Amino acid sequence: MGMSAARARRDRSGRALASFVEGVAIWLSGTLIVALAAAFIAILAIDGWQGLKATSSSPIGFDLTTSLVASGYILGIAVPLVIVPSFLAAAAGYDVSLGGPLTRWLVTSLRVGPMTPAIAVGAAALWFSVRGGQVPMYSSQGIIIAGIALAVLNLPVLTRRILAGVREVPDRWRIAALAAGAAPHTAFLNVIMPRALPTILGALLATAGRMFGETAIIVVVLNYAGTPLTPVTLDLWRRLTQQPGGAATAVAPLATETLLLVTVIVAFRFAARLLQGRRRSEAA
Amino acid sequence: MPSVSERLFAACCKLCAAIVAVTPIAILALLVWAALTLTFEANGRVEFSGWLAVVASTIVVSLIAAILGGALGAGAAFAAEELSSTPVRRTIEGAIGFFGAIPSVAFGWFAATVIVPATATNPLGFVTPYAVAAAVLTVMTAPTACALVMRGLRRVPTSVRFAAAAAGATRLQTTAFVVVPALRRRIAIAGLAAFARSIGEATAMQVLFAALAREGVRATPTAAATVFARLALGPPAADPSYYIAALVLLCVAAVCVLAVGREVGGPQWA
Repeated sequence: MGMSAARARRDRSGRALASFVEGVAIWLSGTLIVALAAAFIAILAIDGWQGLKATSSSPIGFDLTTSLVASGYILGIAVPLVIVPSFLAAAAGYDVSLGGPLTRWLVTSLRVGPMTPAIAVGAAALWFSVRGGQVPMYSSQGIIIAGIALAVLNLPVLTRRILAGVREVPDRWRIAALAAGAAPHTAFLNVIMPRALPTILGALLATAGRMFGETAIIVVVLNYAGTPLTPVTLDLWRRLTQQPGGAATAVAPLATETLLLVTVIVAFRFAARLLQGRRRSEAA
Repeated sequence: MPSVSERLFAACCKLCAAIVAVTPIAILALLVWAALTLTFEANGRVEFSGWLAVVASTIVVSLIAAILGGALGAGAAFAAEELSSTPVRRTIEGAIGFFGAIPSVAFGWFAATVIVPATATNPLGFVTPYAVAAAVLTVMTAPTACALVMRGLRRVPTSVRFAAAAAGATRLQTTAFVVVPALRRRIAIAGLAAFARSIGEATAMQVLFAALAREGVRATPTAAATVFARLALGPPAADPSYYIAALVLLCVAAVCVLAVGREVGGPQWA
């Protein structure tokens, strides 16, 4: 009896200690994440601002307009390629009567698709376009191939995001529409989609931001093609890897360009978040 | 009898679903084709020298990043969802969302211009480059783990929390003795997802190891960084070993995801 009481006391103190340690670890994790984000933002903002001030009296060090236009060209190819297939595939994944047996395959494939490493897509795109160097690649061709490869990388991601969005609309809307005699495609297009539209637009913005910041595919394809158009990510990568480091003149434009890239992508994400905030009220 | 428009819409949906479903298989097939063709052209001689060190570097760095990133992400998720007031929760969610949105090349910039010069004295000897790489990957993979654990936390039934509260448990005790054990599998999945994410990370690692090389620090880069550097900087990519390495990276990421039998890699905000 005495032994079991002592064991119970030990268990209680052990559990209390475990609870304390776990709580401290959890609090530390939360604090560390916030501190790291704050440090990243502070360093980026200070360095980027100094870079901007330094370049206000001298040439900026990189052609911002050309880089943005090149990134815009690639987004202009990739985004339209990915919108319609993702939307229709999400419809097939949402309703078995639209997707048939493919619905199950699609859902299984969407587990793996978004985790595909970008470098694997880049290597596949490079091989497909030049066959290991046997086929020449022209500069304009490089832009198109980079755009298509970006679309391929983001196709499963956007499909999954749209599917998650339409699944958030309560199922009673679909059931009510079907009970009222609507065909499955009518129920999807006229009842479900309008309620999921803010989420779908948010997903599209977030995916566009991801495409804007993608580097591996752009570098692998465009560096090989030798195109005169240099997107922001390719320019940044070249500066980071191919210029001698340490020089103050090299650091300032780097920080400015990184600040610009991060700001644009965070702006895309922020807009997506705003739309996400609206979706719950409209979906209900 | 379905109308023509309905049948047409359903056919388009099926076609697009097939395209999306086949996309990962098509990438896999292209890489297999590349590896086989180039190996055949090289009369079956594939040069694998140096890859052993690359594989070891990749596994070590990715494992450390998966463990630390999984723990950091899970801890942040618990802190945000279970133990914080609304403003603190929003701050942590904002920080996680911020890290999730940052492109790899920006992490590469941070590593190359901030961390590498700070560790130029090489305080840990040969461990330094790998410690820096693991730290960068930890921060990159934490949002993935956090998003997964957060989704799991939101699925824990409210009745379980009420029962724990009715039994006299505090919030911390409920988290430590009820919620964490309930989500143990989910936390392991988050670690595996972090591993899958870190093993395929190419841009940040390539920029980091290039910066280390500029500083005169000798280190073996990860497999993804090696493939990236050789495909981007080398002559017409005709070496089968790079495609085989890319193929292996893709397969490992896919196996990690499928092995746990759960949906990972979803959007962080959905």
